Amino acid sequence: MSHWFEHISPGRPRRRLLRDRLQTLAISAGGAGVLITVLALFIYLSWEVLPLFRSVTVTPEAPQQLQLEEAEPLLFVPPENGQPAWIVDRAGWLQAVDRDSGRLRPLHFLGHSVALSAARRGGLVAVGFADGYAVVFRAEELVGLVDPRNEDALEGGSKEAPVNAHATAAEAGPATSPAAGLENQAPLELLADTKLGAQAVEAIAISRYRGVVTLVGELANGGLQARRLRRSEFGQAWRLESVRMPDQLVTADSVTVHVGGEGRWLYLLAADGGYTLLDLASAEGEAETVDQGHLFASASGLADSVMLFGGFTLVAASKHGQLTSYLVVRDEHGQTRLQQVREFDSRQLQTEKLLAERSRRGFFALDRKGALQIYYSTSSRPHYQGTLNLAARPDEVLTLSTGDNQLYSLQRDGYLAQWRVDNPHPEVSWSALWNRVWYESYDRPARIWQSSAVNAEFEPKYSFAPLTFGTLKAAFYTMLLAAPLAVCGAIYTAYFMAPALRRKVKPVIELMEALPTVILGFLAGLWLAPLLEEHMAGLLALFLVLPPAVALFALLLSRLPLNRRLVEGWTPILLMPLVMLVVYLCFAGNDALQTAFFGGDFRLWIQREFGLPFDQRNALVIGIAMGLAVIPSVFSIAEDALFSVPGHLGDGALALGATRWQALYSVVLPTASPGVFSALMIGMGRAIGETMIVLMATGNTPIMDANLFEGMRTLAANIAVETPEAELGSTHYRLLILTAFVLFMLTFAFNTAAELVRQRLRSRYGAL
Amino acid sequence: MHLDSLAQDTRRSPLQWLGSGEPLVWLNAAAVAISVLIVVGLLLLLATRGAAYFWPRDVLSATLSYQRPCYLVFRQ
Repeated sequence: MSHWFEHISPGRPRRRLLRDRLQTLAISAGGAGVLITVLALFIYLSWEVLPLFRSVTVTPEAPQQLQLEEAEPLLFVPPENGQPAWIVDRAGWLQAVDRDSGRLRPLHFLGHSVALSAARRGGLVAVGFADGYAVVFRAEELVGLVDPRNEDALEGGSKEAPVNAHATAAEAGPATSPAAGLENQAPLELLADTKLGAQAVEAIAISRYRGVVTLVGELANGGLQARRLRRSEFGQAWRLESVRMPDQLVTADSVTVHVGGEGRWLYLLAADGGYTLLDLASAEGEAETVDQGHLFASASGLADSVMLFGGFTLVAASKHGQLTSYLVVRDEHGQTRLQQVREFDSRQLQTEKLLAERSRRGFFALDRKGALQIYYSTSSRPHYQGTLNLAARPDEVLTLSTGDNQLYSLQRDGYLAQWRVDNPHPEVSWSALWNRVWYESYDRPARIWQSSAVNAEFEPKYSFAPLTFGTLKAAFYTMLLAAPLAVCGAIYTAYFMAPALRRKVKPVIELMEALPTVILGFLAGLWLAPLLEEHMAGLLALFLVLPPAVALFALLLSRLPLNRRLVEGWTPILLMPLVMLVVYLCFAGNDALQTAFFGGDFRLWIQREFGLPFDQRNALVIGIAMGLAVIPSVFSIAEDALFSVPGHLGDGALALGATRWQALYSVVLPTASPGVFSALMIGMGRAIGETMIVLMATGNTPIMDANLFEGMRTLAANIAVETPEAELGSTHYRLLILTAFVLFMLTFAFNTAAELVRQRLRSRYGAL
Repeated sequence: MHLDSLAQDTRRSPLQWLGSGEPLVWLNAAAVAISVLIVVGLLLLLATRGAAYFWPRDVLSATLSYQRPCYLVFRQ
């Protein structure tokens, strides 16, 4: 007799040990790999999202000394696209600034002298003169003039000529200057060169909307003049028409004028804080005073005001440090008025000067001592708080570059201070992402996701609330349908079903898992949604009729003397014809039901009776379609959990006299509850992250409405829809990644909560 | 399965039957029936809709009756 170990070669235990070690290593590596992948995903998402929350920096750059000579700058246009900077001076000259020497080179004389006011908006520059004239030209046309390639041609004449020409022009005054020394003046097409009145144009404002330019000038005597410029249908000429102003309108001594709202609204702001809103496009053809009042509740004076990019939002600073923004809105009585929409947190800043960003809805507020705060129209808190190394002075000219990343301050003596502003994502703030925001052209604050539009002046609206709501709504209606079907099915399959049938049924239901969700989405969007729209009454009847029908059928069968052993465990087979019959009857009787209960049309009925809109692609379709995707996973896990409950537990309950339902409900189900619960949570996680079905069958409208008959846009679908269109590195792109992060956190929170509950359930029922 | 319901009798009143939880068992069975029907129905739907293209259908079918004058005009 030999021991078994005598037949084992001496090398075997070592090999076994080695294999054991290798397996341990492989399994550990797999686990660590999963952890590292999740962590890497987390790190990548954070990395892409982090720039959104980076703080704004303003760094001084090397100042430049411009040789202004006797030129007094009225407007400074910073260098752009490789073009040198240029200025409009008070003598009526446009002059280019030489990059290296800082010397001025006259480009064009505007035809009048002593410019008093200038405005620059939408690529247009308007200049108002002391002789009552106003001139409008396109800034981009000047870019061609200051092109360095033209420089040789210009300088070919004589090097001193431009300076001389300028000097003579300034000395000679308005009457003779256009003719003097203009041999090498480059041609500039003026859109308008018009006399607004006999008095000096003290304030000027311009707006451009769809090729219509609106020009408003305020004259020294308090008169107000408005002009519209249109391109005539034939040729390139600009047609000028004047807008009649109300006769009785006389403005206070010093007013600021703004034009906005697509050239329709004219804002007159007086130094004492009073405002007058005029409608330039009223039906009578004459400008009409629409609203009058005081800007600030405290009746404080106006320090400065500015029209934000897009021309809808007006920002005003009071002499007492208030900072507020306004929109023209129509209130519930149909009355148009200037509505204060936001009070900014000024942090005791005594704003002296406001400066609007050139391509976004942000603005800069500066005080007398050079303190700077940077704001954005959708959030009240400043993005930046700091001090410039230069005190603000009344005669300085402040300008931002087109990209809003360079701030210039040109002093009277030619000292040009520059700062680099690093503020790439001002639109993002926690409050704007989740709270209601009063957006331009809306009559109330709202949570809106609208990331892009066709026009460049569009205000982006980034609220995560509708997307998150849509995600939870879709998941809720999905679970409403899937949870009962899957869990009930699992209970029957695991506990009551005949083993022979269970072996067939389980794989069939799990087969649905293999169905690509794109097919489910396709069917839901193109087949199910139109079908349900037509058969809403039938579907409602199905939900109401099927359970009683099944119960009635069971009652009838229990009265019949049948072989119980044959019936029990095989009831689903018996029920299939019944279910098919009920479905058929409900859908066949749809028209009759529709006529009897819903006045012929369910869509109209629900709209009329409850005021609920009905979309074809709605949450009901999503609930059904996504339910189909979720049922197999929930069913499979729940069934496994229920099936693995030891048989003696249920048998004991039955032996003590419980009915088979009581045994299940009070013994088997609690024991399996951790597994059933985690099955439901996995289904929920799947419903939250599911993309294709919601993308194809929801209509993808980001609305916040719990209505079963309306669609939604989920976070996942939003990422799928918009990521291909988002510009790399832009705010939109980073926000989409942030939505991915939110989705990640949402599923993470759900899974963690589920795991905690599961642990508790397990510790509670694990002893059984 | 291993369960054999004990107190089941055709002589019990419907109310007793209701109280025993038996209808709920049947509803669970209905859930299985519905799930299976959905899977099979979905596969059949896809199969019939897809396979229908292999059997060309009539482009147009018309029934003519000769009691009244009738014109059929075909145009490309």
